[in-house]
Amino acid sequence: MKSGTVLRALIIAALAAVIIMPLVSCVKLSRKPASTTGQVTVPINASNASNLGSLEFELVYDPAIVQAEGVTKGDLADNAMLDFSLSRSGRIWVALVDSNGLNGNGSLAVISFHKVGSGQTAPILKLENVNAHNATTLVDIITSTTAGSLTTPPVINFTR
Amino acid sequence: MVTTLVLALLLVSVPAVADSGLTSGFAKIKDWDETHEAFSFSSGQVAWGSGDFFISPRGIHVFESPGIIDMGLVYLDDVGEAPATGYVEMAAPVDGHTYVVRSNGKYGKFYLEETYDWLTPIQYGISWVYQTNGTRSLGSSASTGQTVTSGQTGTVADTGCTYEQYITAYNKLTSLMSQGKGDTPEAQAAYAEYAKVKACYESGSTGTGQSSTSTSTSTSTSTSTSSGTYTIPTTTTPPAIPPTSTSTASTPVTLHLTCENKDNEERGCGPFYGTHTYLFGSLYVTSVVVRFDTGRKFDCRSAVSLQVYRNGAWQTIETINAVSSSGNSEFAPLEVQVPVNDTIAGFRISDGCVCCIDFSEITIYGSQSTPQSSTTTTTSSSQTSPAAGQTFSYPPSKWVPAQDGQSAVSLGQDQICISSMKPGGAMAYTKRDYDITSDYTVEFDYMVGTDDNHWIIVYSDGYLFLIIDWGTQLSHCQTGRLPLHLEVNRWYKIRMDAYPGQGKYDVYADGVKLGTAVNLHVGFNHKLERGNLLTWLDKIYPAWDCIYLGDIDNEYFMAGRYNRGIACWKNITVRQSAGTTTSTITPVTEDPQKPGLDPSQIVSPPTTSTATTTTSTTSIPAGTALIAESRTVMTGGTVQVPIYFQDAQNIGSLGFTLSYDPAVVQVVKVSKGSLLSSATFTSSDQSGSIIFGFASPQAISGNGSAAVVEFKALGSAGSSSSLTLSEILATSYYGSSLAVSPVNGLLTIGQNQPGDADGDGKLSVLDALIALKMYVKTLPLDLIADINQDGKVTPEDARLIMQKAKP
Repeated sequence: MKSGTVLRALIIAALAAVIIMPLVSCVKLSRKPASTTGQVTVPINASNASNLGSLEFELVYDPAIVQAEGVTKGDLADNAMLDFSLSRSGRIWVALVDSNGLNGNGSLAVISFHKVGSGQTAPILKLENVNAHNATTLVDIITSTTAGSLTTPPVINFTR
Repeated sequence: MVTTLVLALLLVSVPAVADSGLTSGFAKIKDWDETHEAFSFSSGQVAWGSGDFFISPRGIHVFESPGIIDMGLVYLDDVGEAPATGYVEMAAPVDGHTYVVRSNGKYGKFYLEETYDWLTPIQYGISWVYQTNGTRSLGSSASTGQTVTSGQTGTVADTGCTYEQYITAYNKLTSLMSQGKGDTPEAQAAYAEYAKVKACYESGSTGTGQSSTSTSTSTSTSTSTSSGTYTIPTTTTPPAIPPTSTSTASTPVTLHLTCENKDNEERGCGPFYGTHTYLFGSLYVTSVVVRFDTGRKFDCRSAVSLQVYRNGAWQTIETINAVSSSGNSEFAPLEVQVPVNDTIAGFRISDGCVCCIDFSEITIYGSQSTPQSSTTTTTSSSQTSPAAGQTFSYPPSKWVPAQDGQSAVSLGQDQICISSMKPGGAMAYTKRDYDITSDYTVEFDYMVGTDDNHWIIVYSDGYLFLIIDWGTQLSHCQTGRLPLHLEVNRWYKIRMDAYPGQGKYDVYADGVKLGTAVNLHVGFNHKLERGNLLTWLDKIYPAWDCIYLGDIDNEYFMAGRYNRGIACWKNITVRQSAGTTTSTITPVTEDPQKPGLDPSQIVSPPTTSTATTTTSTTSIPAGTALIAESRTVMTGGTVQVPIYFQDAQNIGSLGFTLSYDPAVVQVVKVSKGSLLSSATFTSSDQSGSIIFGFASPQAISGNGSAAVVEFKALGSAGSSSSLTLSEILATSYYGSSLAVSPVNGLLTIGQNQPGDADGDGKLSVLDALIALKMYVKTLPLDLIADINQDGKVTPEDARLIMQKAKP
């Protein structure tokens, strides 16, 4: 009787271990902070574009907080040819060409990021090495930039 | 302010009734707590115990509460329409702010001109406008007190404006100012548009939710995206970041500096309104964690500029579109980290007072010694008492320039000059090392460059105060002015002997005593016998350990907006003494040369403008330069050669000659470049040289092409033509000659690498554009763009060029 009880207890314990172990594992997985794994898309906006024929720029970010996943065309650049490079960590190169010229305000490109950091600091998204040329004259276009974040789009201002 | 006050006084108690229903006037209201005096819009009078609203140091209160909105630092005329919503019970009285009042179903607005807080009881001077017909239309600068026609006041949409409109208007205005166009009709129109959209946006943002950014009632601001939600963290403690080791590292340094003003008071610690400035001496900084908050509610958004002070100038390193309030909660600090990796001496946070920074703290990670000083209420301020007899000198290199609009500060080798004109202003300030509670003597050379000066501070340090309030006559903050009209362009040796223990100081010019200021106390916490001078010095200066020169708006600590003048200083020294100093008049030798202003030293504010980078076979010097770019083109082909202007500084006119070999290349076309697009342009091809001439009604600064020359290649393969720049005549907007370094180019006849359609020696996005244009036949075909060598230029070539252009 006593040995049967011990045996039953051992069987129950073994079954319990089989059942509980995966549950514990699942709990561990679910503890990963949700806010650190989300995907965020950030548009790169144009302000006062006028007959913009070609544009290239680099977007600088903190790879310890986010990682770039891809670039798609923005609304303003719907007709443009777009290319990009993610080959350098913390720096995205984006190029647009539209021989018809882009005009007005709107998003030029949309960057997809994947959050990897702790999320304790809002990363700055900074625009550098902006080169722009007029679609007709091929003359350079003066630009200035406004940095952004994951929640506020960086802006390229075309001042002339 | 004085002018405004005087003009406003003419309107006292004479409300002008216009067809539009608007009445207006000026009134002085006494402190309610002391007098129970209130103001009535309908009568245009103050009355005991009744009216529409009253003012006390505690706040402005409308009897029919909630009924007031603080519109912030905007002029009365900038508020054309009363907001539909957003009224609160009470608003803090802040000089320079405009308030909208809703009372008994009608609307009015008033501008708090000045708080007369040296009077007992305190009085408040207001300019006001009242709408008697019950609408929210409150007129504009063109309509106040006059007939308002339909449409003049209806420019603000009832539905509010979007954040994009708001920030676009802001960026347009600031962009013009950064280009030195602050005094142009274009900038005035931009400011009017900005003010309109700002009022419209702020009135709508309280309840209509036009912005795409959603808000919460907590201290976080969230933005929904198509793929998730990101929350701006609002932690109260900056994250610990280990100092990065650097090649210049000596001792790791972590500085934590704070600058805090009362919420809603919105007076920044820095010399600009709503700006926080930290000066900490030269320090190699790897990164800075910045935490800041603004003094506005209702999700106030602004472009916050983060600047570092290096090489004698403030330079913007980041601009952040920030929302630093949350709903009805004013306090919603943001935190960012910015890399620096350079030696800097200061850090500044500013949003141009769109929302007005009212709290900030920065943690600096770097290496070197401990900070030298700070202009703010920092945690690391440690000023040792100077020894008696110690002399301090303040050469130009010690001063920090601050300018706005087209005004400028020049910190030359030996002198400091300001050129200030409205709108905008220019001043210089520095940390004061000496003790203003014991006797000391200040000496410096001073010169005015015009006889039209207004409110130019000659010297101010928290005890001494010397200004030119009008013309060229000195005043020392006492009744009446000092008996000296300064000659223009003549140096004077100014000396002031300060006796803080006796509450007085003496003023000398060229060894002649001009007068004595009396009844003084250190920190301006005293009641001066002021005469025509303003009084708000009392409450601002004690917070500062600085010396100020030039055009400063004391009220808001920004460069003055109404003031003007040209002045220079040099040889500024201060000798500290102990106890009573015996005044000794030193004979002064007048400078026989009487040197004039050196406008060539005047520099423009830094600009963030960028343009296409250039490729040249010649090394390009730093600073202002004119660069003829190098190109390669096949025989018979054409090529555009930009003449690139690097680091242009307040250019008013420009002439130069470009020489080429007419046997090798032929000029097809000469065009004006992008940087000088606003200038009048002419050119002449003399077969071998092109003469260029530009003249601009505005100062032009920045980088970009000055001109573009299209050449046709005549020479055989292997030949070349140098592109030589000469006879460069650059003149600043202020009339002085400017040094511009020429960088010559080379036009080579030969074969480019496939795809290099513009011949600049590299594959770029511009090459892809050229290929596309060749395909659609808007440019002549040139098989150099045929990168895949299939005998034609197609979109595929453009695509391949873009691929190869990747870094």
